[in-house]
Parts: sequence; C-alpha cells; structure tokens
Amino acid sequence: MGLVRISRRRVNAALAALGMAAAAPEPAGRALAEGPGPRGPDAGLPDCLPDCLSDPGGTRALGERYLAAFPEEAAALAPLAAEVRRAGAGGPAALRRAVGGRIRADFAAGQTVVLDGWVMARTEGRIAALAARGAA
Amino acid sequence: MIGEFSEVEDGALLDADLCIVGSGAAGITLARTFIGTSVQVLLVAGSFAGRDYIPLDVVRLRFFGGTTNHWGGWCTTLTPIDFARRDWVPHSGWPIGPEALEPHYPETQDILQLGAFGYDGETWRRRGMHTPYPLDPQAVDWHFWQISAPTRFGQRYRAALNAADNVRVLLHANVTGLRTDPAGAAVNHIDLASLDGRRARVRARAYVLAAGGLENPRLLLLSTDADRRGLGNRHDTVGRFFGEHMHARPAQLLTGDPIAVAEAMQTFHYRGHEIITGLCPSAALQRRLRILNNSMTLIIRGNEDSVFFHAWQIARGIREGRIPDRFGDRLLRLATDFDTLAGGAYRRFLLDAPWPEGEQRIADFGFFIRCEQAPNPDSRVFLGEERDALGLPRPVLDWRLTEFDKRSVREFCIALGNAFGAVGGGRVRLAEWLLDDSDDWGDSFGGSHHVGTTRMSADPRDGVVDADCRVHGMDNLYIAGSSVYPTGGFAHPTYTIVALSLRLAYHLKERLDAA
Repeated sequence: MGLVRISRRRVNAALAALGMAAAAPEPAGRALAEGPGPRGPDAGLPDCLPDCLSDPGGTRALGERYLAAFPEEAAALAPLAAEVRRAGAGGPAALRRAVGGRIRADFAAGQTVVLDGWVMARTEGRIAALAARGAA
Repeated sequence: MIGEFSEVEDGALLDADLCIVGSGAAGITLARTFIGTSVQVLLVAGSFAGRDYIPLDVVRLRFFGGTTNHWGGWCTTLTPIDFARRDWVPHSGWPIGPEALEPHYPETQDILQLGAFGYDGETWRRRGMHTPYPLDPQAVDWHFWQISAPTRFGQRYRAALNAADNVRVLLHANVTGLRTDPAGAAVNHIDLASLDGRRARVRARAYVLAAGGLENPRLLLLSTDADRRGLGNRHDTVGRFFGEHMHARPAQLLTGDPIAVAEAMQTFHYRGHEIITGLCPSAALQRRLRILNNSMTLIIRGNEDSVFFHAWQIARGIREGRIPDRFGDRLLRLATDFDTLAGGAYRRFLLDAPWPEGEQRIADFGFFIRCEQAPNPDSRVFLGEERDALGLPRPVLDWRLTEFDKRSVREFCIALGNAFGAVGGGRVRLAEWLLDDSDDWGDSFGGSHHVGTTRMSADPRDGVVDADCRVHGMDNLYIAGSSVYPTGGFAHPTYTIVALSLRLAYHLKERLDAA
C-alpha cells in the first residue's frame, strides 16, 4: 500500500451517495449490467453522474488514488462507462440504484480491493476513477 | 481441610490417592468433584516466588485460586471446527471432539456461576434476545460469551474444600520435582518445599499437574530422574506449541445504519447475566480462505453529548429487565435536555425524519478481535539459566507468531468488509499495521491465555498427553488445563478448562474406584 492516505472524512463524503445507492435491491445492479443500450468507450459519461456524487472533488481524488494503486483497472473503465451512460439515461435516481446494486453484487462476490485500508467494491473504485477521468 | 505447609513436619511423607498440583480453575474443579467420595485428595497450592511479554511470575498467579484471582470472567465454548483436523492448519486436530465435552457443560455453567447455556446465534435468536444484522451466514457466524461473576475459585470454593474430610489443601507448598521409577513409566512421589526450607514428599496413586501453561511444562522438564530430557518429552514436545490469543484492534466500521448494527452487536442482559455478542468466520469461510479461527466484537462508543444516546441506554436497560447503568446520570441528562429530546422524537417518529444533526447516538465503531494462533513448534517454553527462590530453573518463553496468524486476521476483516458492503451496511477500514505481513501487530497484546505446551495427541510423537490427559508412556501422571489444548480457537480458555477438568475427574473417579 502507498503512503498517500485517504481520510475517513473524505471516504465518508465520497461514498455517501454511492453508499445510499448500495441499499438498492440487487436486480437494479443486474439491470445495469445486462440492460439494453449503446456500448463503447466513446459514448462518454452521462451528464447526471456528477449529480450522483455528494462530494465530486473527494470522489475524483479517490479515483486518482485508485488508478494509481491499481493501474490495470483502467482497462475496465470503458465498458463501465457504457453501462453507466445507459443506466444514467433514466436520471440520477436510476443511476444510483443501478450502481448501488452493482456495488452490492461486487461485495457479495468478493470483487473488492483494499485501498489504504478501506475494503471497497471494484465498482466503487471504477466509478470514482471515471469521475476522475471525466474531470481530466 | 485447608492447612499451611508450615504445619507439616519437615521431611514428612504424605499419602493420598490423588495428588493435584495447582489450585486454579482446573485444580479446584478436580478437587471439588471428589468431595464426599472415598478418594483421599491432596491439593498442593504454591506460593509466590522471543516476544515482549508479561513477566511470567505475574501472568500466572501461584497461590490458592490460581489465575482465577485476576481473570475477567469471559466464558464461551470452543466451536466444532476447533477440534477438527484442518488440512490448511499444520498440527491441528484434537483426538477428541466437542461431544466429549458437551455432557460436562451444564456442570461447567454452575461452577462458573453462569446463566442458561447458550453460545450460538440460533439459541439467542430463539430466546428473543438477538436480532442478527443480515450478514451473509455463509461467511460469518454469530457467537456469544457469558460473563462469569467472575468466579474467584479460591474464595468461592474455599469453604467446601475446607469442610471436606477427604480433601486436604496444602497452602504455600511448592513442587520441586516429580520422582519416577527408573523407566520413567510412573511417578513414585513428588517433592515439596517451602520458601523457608521445609521439605516433604507426597505419595499418591495418581497425580495431576494443574499448574498452568507455563508451570506444567516446567515441572515436566525439570523432572529428569529417568530421562535428562524430562518427563513425557521423548519426542521433544514438552513446552513447544505455546499459543496465545492475540487481542487486537484490526479495523473500524463506517456505517450509515448505526442503530441496527449496534442493536445486533451490543452487550445485553438475560436473567441477570451479561451476554456479549460477536462474530466469527464460518467454518466454510475458514476452509475457503484457509485461515485460522478468530472472533470479533464491536467497540461501540456512544455519543455522550447526545441526549438520545442516554435515552437509548435507559430504554435498553428497561427492555432487558435491569436497572440501566449510570441510571441517575442519564436521567439527569434527559431532564436537563428534555426539549431537545422531545423535539427530536417529534421529528423522528411523527415526521419520519432523521435524528437532528449532532444528536446521533453512536460516535464510532471499532472492531476488537481475539485471534487463534497456529500451532507452532518453535513457539515454546523452556528452562533458562536463571534460578528461582527454590533453586529451580526459571521458565523462559520464546513466543512466536507467524505470517499465517496475521494473514488470518486480515482476510477475516476483508470478509467482514465484504459482508457489510453486500447488505449496504457500511465500509470496513483495516488498521495500518494489518496491511502487510511484517511482525508488527500495532498495539495488540496477548490475553494471558496459555495453550499447547503439553498438548493432547493420539500419537505420542505429536504431543504430551493422550485423549484422557494422561502423559504418553506414563501410568499415573495426568495434566489438566489449557496446556493440553492442541489448538486454542478464539475462546477464552477457562470454560473449556473447567469442562475438561470435569471430564478428567470422572475418568479418575473410575480409575480410583471412587465410592
């Protein structure tokens, strides 16, 4: 693990929106993964993504840290961006539900990483990384 | 009858059917089981005389009542997997299963002054006392502790032992050696000495060492009549496999659901007895991750500034049929801040709004873990060069932990993070010391739980005593206490010490034809 520390306050703020979404029922996550819609890295991020983040700055910092710690995760961003864009077509609430379901599914399947001590779902890290990339 | 060794004639030979060395939970449990029988018992109670550790003459108390004079009272059973041979845990596996101890649990509950038996989640859910937080049952099990008075064996059972015609307790008598026949197959007598030079011998039909995980191996190692390696040490197993329960703060929980988590993991009371709630890795998870067993409780730090926290604590006490702790203080707090309480309750219950900002009841959550240590032959007690007041070699402890021990804690914390995250219950953060495989354990400490130094085994090459707690290759020498545990699980040892001692007592009753 690196020396860069992600504070409890920052994680708390950055994950707050996603954390609320994480209470969504699992089928929403499946809808995100399996639903119809255009795919591809060039599709761009949905405009509503920033609206889902209560602390966009904190989320971007988390995303940068995530990509620095797990650079191989960059390859997973394009497919996720397409799924996010598709789910985001239904607005911020639909996107939150979809992302939340996917996060819960990640935890249930053990698809998690430890970043500066935090046990976080890969989807959480990737969403944060998308936010960071979008900002860049 | 309880008497002083100073009352015994110097050089005397004392006869008994059963000689018990040590007067802690094991020794007194054994002795009291023989009260009123035809067996003459002599209980010998002593006197005071690698890894940083508590001084060895402090961590175990060598006087009547033994270490129960300063134990914390935490009681629980080992879990079934603790007895099993686990192919991912070298040297694991007891030669007996949990069914060998279960018949003795009711009596153990009584001896330790506990309430109704129950240490698993299903029991407490059925009793209506526990609503589990919905964590994946494939990953975690709910586990419980009951808190003993704590029973101070020396005080609690002094009168009964003193009144017993067939039990003699000798205070301030120290064992200086076990004398055997030339083949080392049987103990002929033991030597006693006081700190002021008085000496005596005890001759018995059977002997039990019940002096703790440090003193039991020491007494075997310094008894070299038949073998310079010591008694029961033909295969160099005496003193090895020393294990502890590392106590640590490995992680924190950040949750948006604090009350439900707290309700599921908080201490409660049942019929006047305190019950502690915890989590442990399921057997399936241990098998899948190839980790050791351990247990996690939650340190819940209430928000003392919140009137709602105090109201909650009062409500919990009333619900459990007890006077809430700090009842007066809490009532005063409610009275002086009643308007806040009323306003918050109105918002919460009539408007279905959250509690007011700054008035949340929980300040934070921290996990606290008790870790099983992998059996390790290099972690050991041996005789040192330094001598004690009786001229005997002092024991030296070389306690060693391994990467496996630490990895097991880390993997379980990650599994807990997964379990909480899967139900939207929050996020777990591992402590910094846990993130690597170094020997750094942060501010962790041992629980003064000593296991393994005279371990039980089916094969004499793997341990010191057999399934009956008799020293391999010897006819009349037995060992009681946690030093016989082949593995220690996460359970505080006293409960199983008492159950195992009862099992040994009934074995000896049969052997000695107790009527």
